[in-house]
Amino acid sequence: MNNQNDIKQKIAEANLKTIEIMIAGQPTWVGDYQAIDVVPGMTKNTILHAGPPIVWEKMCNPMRQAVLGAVVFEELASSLEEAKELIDTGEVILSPCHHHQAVGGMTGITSASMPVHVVRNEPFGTAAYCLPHEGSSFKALGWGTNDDETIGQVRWMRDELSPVLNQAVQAMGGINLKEIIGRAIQMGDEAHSRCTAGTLLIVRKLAPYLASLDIQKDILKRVLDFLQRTDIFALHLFMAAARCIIEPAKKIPFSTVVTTLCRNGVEFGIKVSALGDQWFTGPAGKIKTSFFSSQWDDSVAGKDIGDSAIMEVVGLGGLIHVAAPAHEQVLKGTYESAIQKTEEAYQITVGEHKSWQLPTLNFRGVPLGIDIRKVVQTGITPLIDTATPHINGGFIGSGEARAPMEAFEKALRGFSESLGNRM
Amino acid sequence: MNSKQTKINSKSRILAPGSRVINAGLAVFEEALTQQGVQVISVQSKPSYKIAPDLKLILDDLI
Repeated sequence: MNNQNDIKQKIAEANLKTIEIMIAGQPTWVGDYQAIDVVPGMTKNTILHAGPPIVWEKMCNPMRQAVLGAVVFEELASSLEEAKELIDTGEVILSPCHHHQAVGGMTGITSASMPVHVVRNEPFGTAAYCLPHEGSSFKALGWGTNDDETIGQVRWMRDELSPVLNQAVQAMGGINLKEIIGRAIQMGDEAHSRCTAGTLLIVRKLAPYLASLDIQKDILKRVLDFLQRTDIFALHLFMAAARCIIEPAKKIPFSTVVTTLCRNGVEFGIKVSALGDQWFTGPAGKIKTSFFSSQWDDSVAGKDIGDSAIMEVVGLGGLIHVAAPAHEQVLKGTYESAIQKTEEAYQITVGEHKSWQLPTLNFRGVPLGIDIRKVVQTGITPLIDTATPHINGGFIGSGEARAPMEAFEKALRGFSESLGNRM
Repeated sequence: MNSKQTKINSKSRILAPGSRVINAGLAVFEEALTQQGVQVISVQSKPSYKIAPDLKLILDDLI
């Protein structure tokens, strides 16, 4: 009995330490660079993808299409057919973003010369990387399209958007994303599917520096036009922020706190602090979708996909629908259902964030530190906000999906076995 | 909660199409309601989840 109490005490202390590290994070956007220059382990023939590891043969169609598009984008092949041959001959390395301190939206496809936001968590010396959002159109590599328009957009981001943003961010000495997130969730964002306020706050900070750059007016106009059209621009910065916040929270002995949630369109993968970089997986969920057009329905909807569930790891997105009633309405919910979902999240988390607060819950901190023990005990799996891809590529809706219990059950068994090794 | 919105409980018997329902419990229940034109707002899998015996033992030790 004493031994059991000792373990329980160690877990409680480790879990508190884990969320304190998350709370102490200071993610700052320091610039945009090409992935090959900053992402650890990136090579000219490496393509990063979202979610836990997966081989080509098992990838969902949107992810495959995006991989082929990235091979063409990198000019490793001159056509999609040639790109497929390179995949078949093993000349292209496929690797999860998460293995490279990176995260990627939806398919998460990121290759050598693509631009990435660089976010640093200075107090802990960690950094994370994420391809900027490709814009709010139907087409994007992230959504699994790969035509000339899609690839042309990523080229424009590499050649024009990111260099301009980099100059502005450098000139202002970086943008503190912890502060931006804290304000955005008090302005109607849940900081995952809805980032309208966050984007506005970032653009407001960038504006005077963009205006001061020595660049052609037509370039500045295209950059500003992209930013004003892309409500969700802030998300990929927030994802990189969350990714570098959780890095120092990994590998804390006895901690049962989740440090990764992600999906590749086939499997949902989680990691647990005490268990380091070990993956635990379950099936990717069906998305409960609000479709943008009546031409689409569940029969053409892909499964849950993307690394953006890193936002739920740090207490945002599906854990705080109460912060974003307008988004809950998009999901055909009500203010009551938003409260209910957030109250559920408090049942499976270790504590509350000290800086990120919810005005509509009397400034209660967001629920922080998903505890695998509480998930299994309560039967409540984290609610993940997400977007829905078409099975043939394209952005067709906004929705929510539950993380699969199977991954948490495996993780709990894995944690128990790890204790056996210690005892 | 407006007049077209109701909580499901054991006394619920008839729901008109267009009703809005919160706190539905089971996925099959939700599907049946949806097919009848009832809008289900929130579904939680908790009531149908049963902890495996080995996991219950693990939890007894850890929580």
